[in-house]
Amino acid sequence: MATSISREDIVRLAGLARVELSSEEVNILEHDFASILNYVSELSTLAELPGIDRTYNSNTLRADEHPHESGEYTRALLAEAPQRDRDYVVVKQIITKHNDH
Amino acid sequence: MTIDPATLTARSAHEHLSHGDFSARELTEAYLTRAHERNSTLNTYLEIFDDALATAEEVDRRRASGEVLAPLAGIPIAVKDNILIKGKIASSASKILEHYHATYDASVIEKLKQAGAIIIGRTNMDEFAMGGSTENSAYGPTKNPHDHTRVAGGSSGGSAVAVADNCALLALGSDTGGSIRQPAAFCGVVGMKPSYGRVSRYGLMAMASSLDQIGPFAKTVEDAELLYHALAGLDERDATTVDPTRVPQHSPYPPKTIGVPRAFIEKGVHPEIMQSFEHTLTQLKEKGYTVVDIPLPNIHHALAVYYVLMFAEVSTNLARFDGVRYGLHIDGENLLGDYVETRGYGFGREAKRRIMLGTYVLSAGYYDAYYGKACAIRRVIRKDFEDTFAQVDAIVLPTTPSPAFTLREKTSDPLTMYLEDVFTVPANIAELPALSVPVGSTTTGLPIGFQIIAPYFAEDTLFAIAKDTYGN
Repeated sequence: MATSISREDIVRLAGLARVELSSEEVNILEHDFASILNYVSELSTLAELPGIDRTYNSNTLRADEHPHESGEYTRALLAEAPQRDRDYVVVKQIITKHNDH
Repeated sequence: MTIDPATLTARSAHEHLSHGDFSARELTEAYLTRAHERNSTLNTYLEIFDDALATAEEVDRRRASGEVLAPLAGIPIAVKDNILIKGKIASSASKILEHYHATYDASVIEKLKQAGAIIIGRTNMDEFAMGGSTENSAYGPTKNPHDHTRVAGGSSGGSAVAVADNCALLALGSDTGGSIRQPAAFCGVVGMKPSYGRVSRYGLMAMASSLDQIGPFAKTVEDAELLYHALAGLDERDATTVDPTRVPQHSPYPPKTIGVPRAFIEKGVHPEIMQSFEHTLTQLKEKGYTVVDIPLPNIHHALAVYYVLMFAEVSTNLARFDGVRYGLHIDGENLLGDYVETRGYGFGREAKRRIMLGTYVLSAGYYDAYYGKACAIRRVIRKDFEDTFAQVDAIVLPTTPSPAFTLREKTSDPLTMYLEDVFTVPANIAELPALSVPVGSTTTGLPIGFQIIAPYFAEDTLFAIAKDTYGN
């Protein structure tokens, strides 16, 4: 399998992965990607022989009962949110009214 | 009596506590003092819990009232920083979680607390358990107690050093591709990865969910066994834990026959490690074991399988760190900017590398060639192990190809670092229990580990063979 990857590909992947990269990091990753993908590409040459799954669990379900009191954990969980407003975490607005433009 | 951390084990400390030779408070104080003294040199702990003394006093009160306590009661234990302890910071050695406080106890922590164990600190690690040297910590590397210019191994380096350097009697780590066994080997302690499904991961920060397991570090096999039994069990909060009664027993006990995958270990192993390995095999033969060569024809592909599956799982598991619900937040221009800048600043280089590689192997056009293929070969490797266990009771190989390497030796070449996991990864890929036991050291004084892999859910086999190795 060809494992060349361009600088543009790295930048596009960073966007998909939601990480900001410095140009130095892009350079390093371009090099690392080539050697790492080249290594794992040995898999592409292998025939798929018979294998096994190990399944001692199936449909592990819990009884739908005894819910905790509403709000029991709210305060503790919200205390860890970087920005909050009453019982909500704050995120930036993503939908704007037409006349806001 | 005087408390000497260098000579105590969890088992002997329990005896002393039971006989009233010293109190849990005195024992905890001794370990806290040593942990503080040593931390500036080795960087073992990210935080030492001085409030552990209050827990120890409570254990002493319970004992004084006549209560018969569990063997772990009053025993100082160190915990890897990716395991949640309610109210304490759990950072996974990452900047992105520097100020995050755990809102609940992991199941294993709940069990330790119920047993009266004293959690004395959270240990350094590679960020989000990604690495084999603890150099990927955002808080600096942990040093090897046998040679301060060398790495402790990783990712659970702090936990291995806590036990090796007598700054805790026991420790918890997590093992996704060798992160307990490799640092155990580098530091000269016992480290064990249970079968996948044996120990609950509820409250463990997920790295690669199809591979992660929590397990013990200890100075002796007996101590590792003690802690392992305290951790194991079905947990309804982790649906991947397995009911042991559903697993067929296919291994005779005590074990008699040991397999060695000769072709896999014949190249690239440090000569002193190979010498020590052969010497251990001779000793096991003298104790009545039959040692045979086994093929395991696909085991050399386990590392490539691992590095595809793990990248993929890392990229999805770490998507939750977005600066919204917990952890670091860096303000960007818009919501997408918040995500990108928070993650760009908060994640270290290795975390970003793996997230990116995972995104790549899961992307349209590459999914079948990488992820799909790795899943298929994983099933083949699992079958190879199953077939082998029809003939042998356990498989042994060195834990690592080389002893502890020097700091910064491999940080600029990730692939070289990844190759360090070659002997530990197969057990994770096949979901099998595995244990590293110290079997001596190199002429320069660096510890050497001997690894045992047992059939699925045959942890007792590991302990039996490990106890028969030299010095244990």
